[in-house]
Amino acid sequence: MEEFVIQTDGLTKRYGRVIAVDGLSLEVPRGRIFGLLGPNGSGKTTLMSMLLGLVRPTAGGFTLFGNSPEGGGLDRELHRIGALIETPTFYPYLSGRNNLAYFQGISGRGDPHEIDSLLEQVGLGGRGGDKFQTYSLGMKQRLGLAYTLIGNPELLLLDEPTNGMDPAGMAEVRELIRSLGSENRTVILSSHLLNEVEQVCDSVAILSHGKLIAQGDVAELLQERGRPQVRLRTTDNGRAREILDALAWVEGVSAENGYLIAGVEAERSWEITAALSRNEVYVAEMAPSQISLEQYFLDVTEGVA
Amino acid sequence: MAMALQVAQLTRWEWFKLRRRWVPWILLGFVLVIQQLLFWLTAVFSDDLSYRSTSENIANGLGFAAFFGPFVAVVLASVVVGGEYGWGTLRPVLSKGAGRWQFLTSKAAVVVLFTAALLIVSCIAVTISGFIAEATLTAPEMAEPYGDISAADLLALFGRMLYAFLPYIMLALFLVVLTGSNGVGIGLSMGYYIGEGVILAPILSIFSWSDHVFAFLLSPNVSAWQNVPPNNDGSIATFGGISDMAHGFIIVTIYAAVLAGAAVSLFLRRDIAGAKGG
Repeated sequence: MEEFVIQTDGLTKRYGRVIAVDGLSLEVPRGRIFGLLGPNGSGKTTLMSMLLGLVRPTAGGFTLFGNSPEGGGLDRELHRIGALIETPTFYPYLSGRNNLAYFQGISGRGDPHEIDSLLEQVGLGGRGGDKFQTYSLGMKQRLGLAYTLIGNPELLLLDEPTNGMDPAGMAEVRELIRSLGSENRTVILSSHLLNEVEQVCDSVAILSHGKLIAQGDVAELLQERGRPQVRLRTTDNGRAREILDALAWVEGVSAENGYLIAGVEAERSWEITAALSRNEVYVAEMAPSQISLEQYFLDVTEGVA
Repeated sequence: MAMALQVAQLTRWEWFKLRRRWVPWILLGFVLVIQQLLFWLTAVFSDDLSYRSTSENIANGLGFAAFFGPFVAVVLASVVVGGEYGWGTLRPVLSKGAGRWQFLTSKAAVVVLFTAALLIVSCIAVTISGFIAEATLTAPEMAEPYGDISAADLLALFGRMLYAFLPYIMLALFLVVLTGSNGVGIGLSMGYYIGEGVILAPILSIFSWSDHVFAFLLSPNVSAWQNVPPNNDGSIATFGGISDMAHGFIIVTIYAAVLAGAAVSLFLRRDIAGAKGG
């Protein structure tokens, strides 16, 4: 079994003088939930479109499941992929159920009887008979997810799948993506909702201006980048900050949303408690803290911009 | 073989979509209404009841369809492909591994199938009207019936008519793929159909110096190839002494092949974007 479901080598796409994707070399390991992050216009959608054969690369190449798409091989590999690019677009005059029946029919994968269970799975069980043009954006996204699951694909490419959903719907979809990723299926999730990616993905690649600027496991990236710190709330944050600033072994103190962030290893938390209590300032809450994916993202993309 | 099966499968599902749209039914209704109007106006006001036998009635129905066929084919071809651009559905279709040339071929196939169905319905409608007219109108017999036409001849006529619609279908497909818009596709295709067939060809046919230009236009060759009775008058400067019909067949085939090749080649090379709207 191939180790990487996707490998790109110097993949490039130019639109006239604009470089949408710039010499991208990326590897997506099998069986992971892989986040594709980047600001608007960073090349995420173009990259996905190239992998699906919708957009022709200007230079470079890629393999899907270890096979090159040259010579008509891409259509064969596409049967193993479920993809949703940008806002879901289906036939407005067909019902949700008939849209899925059509796509199941042309792909020749899966069973026509699975359509109702797919609609149930994405929460559209009661609206499958309604025309697509009557759906809200959130419902369209749900139908889009059902579309990607036709034929039980090995690889899912999801581009902003929670766009337009209410918070409950977003949480539901996150749970669905997690469950899909736990079935030895690879999921590539493109999003600029960094919190969503942090909650769902095992590893990420960050794109900026078409270039790959960071790639790796989420936990490892954050650990590498972030210095150890603890987050605390006290009976007197102002006084506590003065006390902590005076300690040589604390590397910086900052205030954030009613909390203090102190640059110190979590193992020394008791020393902080002791130092503060000696000055009659008492700790109400304290926990180890690490840099968020959002902070990491802003740090690494700032330099490139 | 596998590719032919894939095209057949895609065509089946194109039919699934097409019969759920309003456009083909509106076209069918429009054609039948106009056809019946023309039929009854002719029957009542010219006292022309020359269609006596069933085969004559069927040939007459095909004659009506020869006039409407390219119009229906152009509108339908533009709509079935242009809709995909407008709604942005090329992305989900091609992402499912449909294959680009296979998908475009299935589009052409479904238009041909619908146009064939329209020819059949048109024949049935005119045949029924013919019998009703004969039973209800008391016109004198006209002197020039077509004569009895064999089933084989009718079938051949049917096939020739359908084949003659191919260049118009391919023209519409090419223009829609080129512009990504069904509106522009319909407009340009109809513009060509009317401009060439109704304006350019009649003008060129007046002058002898333009015989060789006229002989390579689409519409005169379509007429020559279809050879719908009673309009089978030889009027093309054919090459190599071949018959009008053979000349018509060659030119119609060349037009269809070149336009189909251009449409497929463009469709294979173009990047697919999201929805474009109307």
